[in-house]
Amino acid sequence: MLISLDWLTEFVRLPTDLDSSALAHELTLRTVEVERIENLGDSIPEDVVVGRVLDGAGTNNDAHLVSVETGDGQMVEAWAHEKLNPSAFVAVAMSGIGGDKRQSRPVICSPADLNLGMLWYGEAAHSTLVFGTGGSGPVVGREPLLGSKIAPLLGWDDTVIEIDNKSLTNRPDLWSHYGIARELAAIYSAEFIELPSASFDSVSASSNLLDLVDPSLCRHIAILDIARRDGPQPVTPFQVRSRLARVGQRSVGFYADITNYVMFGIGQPSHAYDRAKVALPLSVRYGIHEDERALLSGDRAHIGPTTPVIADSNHAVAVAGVAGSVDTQVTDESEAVLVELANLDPRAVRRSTLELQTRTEASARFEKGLDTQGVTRAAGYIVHLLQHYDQGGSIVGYQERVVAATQPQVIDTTLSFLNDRMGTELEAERVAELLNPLGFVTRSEGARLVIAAPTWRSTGDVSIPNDILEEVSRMIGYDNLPPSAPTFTVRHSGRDPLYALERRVREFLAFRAHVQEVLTYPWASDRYLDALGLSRQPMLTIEGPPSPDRRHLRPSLLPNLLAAVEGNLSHSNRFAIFELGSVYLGGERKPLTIADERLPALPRRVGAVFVGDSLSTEFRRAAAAVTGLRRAGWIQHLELKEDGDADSWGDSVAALEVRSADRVVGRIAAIDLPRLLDIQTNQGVVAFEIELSAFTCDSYRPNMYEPTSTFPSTSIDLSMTLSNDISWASIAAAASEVEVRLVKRVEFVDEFRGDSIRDGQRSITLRLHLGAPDRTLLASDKVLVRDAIAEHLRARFAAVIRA
Amino acid sequence: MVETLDDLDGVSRRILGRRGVMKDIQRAIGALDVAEKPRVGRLVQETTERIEMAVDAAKERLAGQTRPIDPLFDPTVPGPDMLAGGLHPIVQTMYDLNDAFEALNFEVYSGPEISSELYEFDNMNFPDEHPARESMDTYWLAETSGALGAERLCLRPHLTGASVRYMQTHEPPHRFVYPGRVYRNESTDARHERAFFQYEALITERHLPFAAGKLLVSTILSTVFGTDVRVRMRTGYFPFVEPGFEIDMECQVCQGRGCRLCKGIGWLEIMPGGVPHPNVLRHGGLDPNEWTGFYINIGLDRLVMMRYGIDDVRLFNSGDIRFLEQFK
Repeated sequence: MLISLDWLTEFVRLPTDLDSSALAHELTLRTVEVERIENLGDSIPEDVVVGRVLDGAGTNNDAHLVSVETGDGQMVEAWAHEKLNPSAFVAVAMSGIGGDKRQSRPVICSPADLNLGMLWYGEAAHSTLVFGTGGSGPVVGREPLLGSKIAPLLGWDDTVIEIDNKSLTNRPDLWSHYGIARELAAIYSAEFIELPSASFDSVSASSNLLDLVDPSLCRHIAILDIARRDGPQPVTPFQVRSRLARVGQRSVGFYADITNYVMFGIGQPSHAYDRAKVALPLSVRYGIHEDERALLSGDRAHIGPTTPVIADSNHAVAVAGVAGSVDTQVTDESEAVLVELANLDPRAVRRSTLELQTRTEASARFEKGLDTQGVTRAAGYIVHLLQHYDQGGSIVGYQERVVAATQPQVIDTTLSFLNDRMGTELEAERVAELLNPLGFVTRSEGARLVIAAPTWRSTGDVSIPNDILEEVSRMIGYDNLPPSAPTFTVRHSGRDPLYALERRVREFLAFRAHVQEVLTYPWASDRYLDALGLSRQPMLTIEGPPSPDRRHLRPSLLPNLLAAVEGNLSHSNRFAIFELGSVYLGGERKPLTIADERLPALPRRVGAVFVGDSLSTEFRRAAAAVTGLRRAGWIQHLELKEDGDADSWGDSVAALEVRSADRVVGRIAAIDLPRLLDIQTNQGVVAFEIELSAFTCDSYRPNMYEPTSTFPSTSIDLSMTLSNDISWASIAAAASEVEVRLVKRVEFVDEFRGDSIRDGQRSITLRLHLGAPDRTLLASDKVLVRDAIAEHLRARFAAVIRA
Repeated sequence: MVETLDDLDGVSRRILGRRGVMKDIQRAIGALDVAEKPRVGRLVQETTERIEMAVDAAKERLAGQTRPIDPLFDPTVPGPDMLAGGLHPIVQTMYDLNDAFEALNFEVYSGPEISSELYEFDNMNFPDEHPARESMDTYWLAETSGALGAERLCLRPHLTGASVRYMQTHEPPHRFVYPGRVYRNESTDARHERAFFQYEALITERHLPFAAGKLLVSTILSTVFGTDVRVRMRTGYFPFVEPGFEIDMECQVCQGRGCRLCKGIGWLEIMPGGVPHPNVLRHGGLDPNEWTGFYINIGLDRLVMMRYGIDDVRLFNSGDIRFLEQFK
């Protein structure tokens, strides 16, 4: 919302030495956030000055040169748009207008040339800007000084501040200059100037203007019946047009401008209709007929039974609170006008804007929930403005209906409550000093404070003692409250075991397994879900997804990790990424906090993908990383087993299952990326996904001390050929069964298949790490162990020892 | 003169080895007269010992001269290529903040990412027709379409709903942080994302003046920026707090002098906060006449962007390792 500082002066007498930055700062700290300050005069080039035409030769069609006096006896030849009267006061751009073919010479400007077209409507925006009387273009009613800057003549020496609308959502009273002026009056202890209003005493009450008023839609409505004695609608006074333009509202005609001026001035929307185009009486109701109307907002509205409308006897003439229809708008030929002012239900207006997919200045205000008494205030203000500016018009009728008036909220609180929460020692008188300028009425009754809020703050904004606390503390200034440090009772603060595990897992993978963490979205693309065969399981879907193919919430971390792999393959051929987060499972729901709320299963998982030149290398990196999780994560049971689930994601052979005790909690598997995603790559890709919430962990470091031997250890290598069917895990397990006292560890060294090895077999080399706690092993010990293990493997697997 | 240990070894083998000269001589002693054998044997033995001593001396001399590493070794050749690895920059910041708050005796808590209208809006004092409830702002689960309250489920649009869960299940007073991702149905651009991280903290106490809440703010900012950062509290509106605050920090780019980032104001809006609304405390099982508190909530994505000068929020969810590996 834009606020003109000049417009504010109509309602508040601010300190004369107050600059706009200081005002914006205080307003931001205490009331609403000022996002931007703009000095409008800066938008007009420095060298645009007032000049007087000395000869008016030329035509209306072609650009031509005329002589112009620009003060201090200086005369220039300037390009003119049209034929000009001699002595006309014009705006001369001494260096021309940017981009204009005549820019090497001075140019006599139109409003549009200066980006000031909003001040005039119709063709006038493109006609020559003429100051004073006697010109053929728009007239600005001040006698100008030759050579002076034009901004003051247009009211463009004003400063406009932009207020963040988000900071206004709970304050319907602030959607106007009047509301902001009241706040500033309170902040600066400045005089607040009450709204001018005209009396209705001389206006006869009408009974034919209003019919049905649906109480669920409308709480207060007033209709002004205005007759014009003669001629077309008047030209909007320049000050009104200028102020509207400064806050971004283009001038569109006298009556519409007046209603807009009232809306931006005091916050109450209203609408003017051509009386001749309306079949009285008016109603406020939901649509009855299926109807489509062109609106003044530029939209086409489909009117249906859920659309709140202002209707005449035949049709909807406005979508209530949003915009009037084009076919009832006031034109220059209108001889009588109706002005409707209503207080509408904010929810109905909001629903309507959502249905129509449009939002207007009026609807933005109605949606906040306005004070019903604003209708009466605005009606009086409109009549005041019409009396002032519309000499040819008169109010011939007025009808008002109050359905449910806004009632002042009365809040019962105590001084001790306020002081305790603010850390202050305020007296009741000081509280009253702070609140009364905002319209509150404060009464002290012993320890109690009874505070009546004004109706414009009783629309839902102020209703409880905490609201009074906010009013008092913001008027003091939060930064002015006494500094205070919280006092805590130190107590044991436990750590969620899953949180602790997740951190250990993340840090292990990142810093010890050298895997890069990524974050992806909670939804997954159908392409990757299908590729991994995950679409077969029940999945959760979201309304209004980012795209139609991303409507499913991820049941696994892998689809999005594969998407990230595909993206990274365009610039890297060796990398590893992981993600740790929730997956979202369809199916059974269970209570989490209360019985009535049943939530889907959201297990926490870690998933990773390893990409490199060799599939076997990447598989072993992945397996090593998973194995390492047990130690790093303080996990009690984690082991890898050969995988028996051929239906799961990834390769059915190059796969291992991850087990916690007797439960499968994850999987490592090779991914055939070219086949699954139809992309070209020779890189080996291996992924794992593990459910972390399935693990039981030690709650402290599970370290055990074992005395180290003072005797040297040694090792022997053993090579053998045996069937491809026999896994390394089986070989290692078997090798560990023999001479348990001396064999400390069995290490995989190498495998080989080739011409020297029979089909269906491979050569495996293993290394036996040996040691004894009480002596140095002799060569004979090594021979003994080697022979025993070789014999055992020969017996178990028909292994043929090679060396 | 022998110059290397290898040469010495060769010479030694030729003279003293099993097939060396001295062995040949020893074997030849057997063919001598019996009377000559002792004298020649002693001579051979003495000679052998002298040679061994000479070999040892030469070894000692050469060991001091010979380098164990090839003199042509190039130490600037890099080692095996090791992948970088690392935590996501937002997760790094989250853990840094968790550490700071745990040092202040706060507990770290996690709420569910799918929650209900009851916890996300009703308990949070959002009016029935609040815009945030609509699908344009919240990702509702299609499976719960038409349901209300506890049965209408959504991806959590904010963290605050979890605060009531915590209050309902823990004895007051409370001091906890609950970081996590939240989800909003909005268009994305360089400054807006549909999925982003928030970091929220709540204290509940019987007596807690507003100004005490600044502890939370300064803890966060000094942890992230490594120095004390000036802040200001101003009025702000959020349904779940009353009074509500917006907390601004001094722009760290211009040090408050005004620049493009802060739109010339010198301050940057950094986090909302405030006193839990009485209705929120009631839903959490606390009597608002007895208890009060202080919330703060900060957008971690934005904070990290500011900290590292990142110009596009969408990079965080891109999975692009060229971006992510920059953060150690």
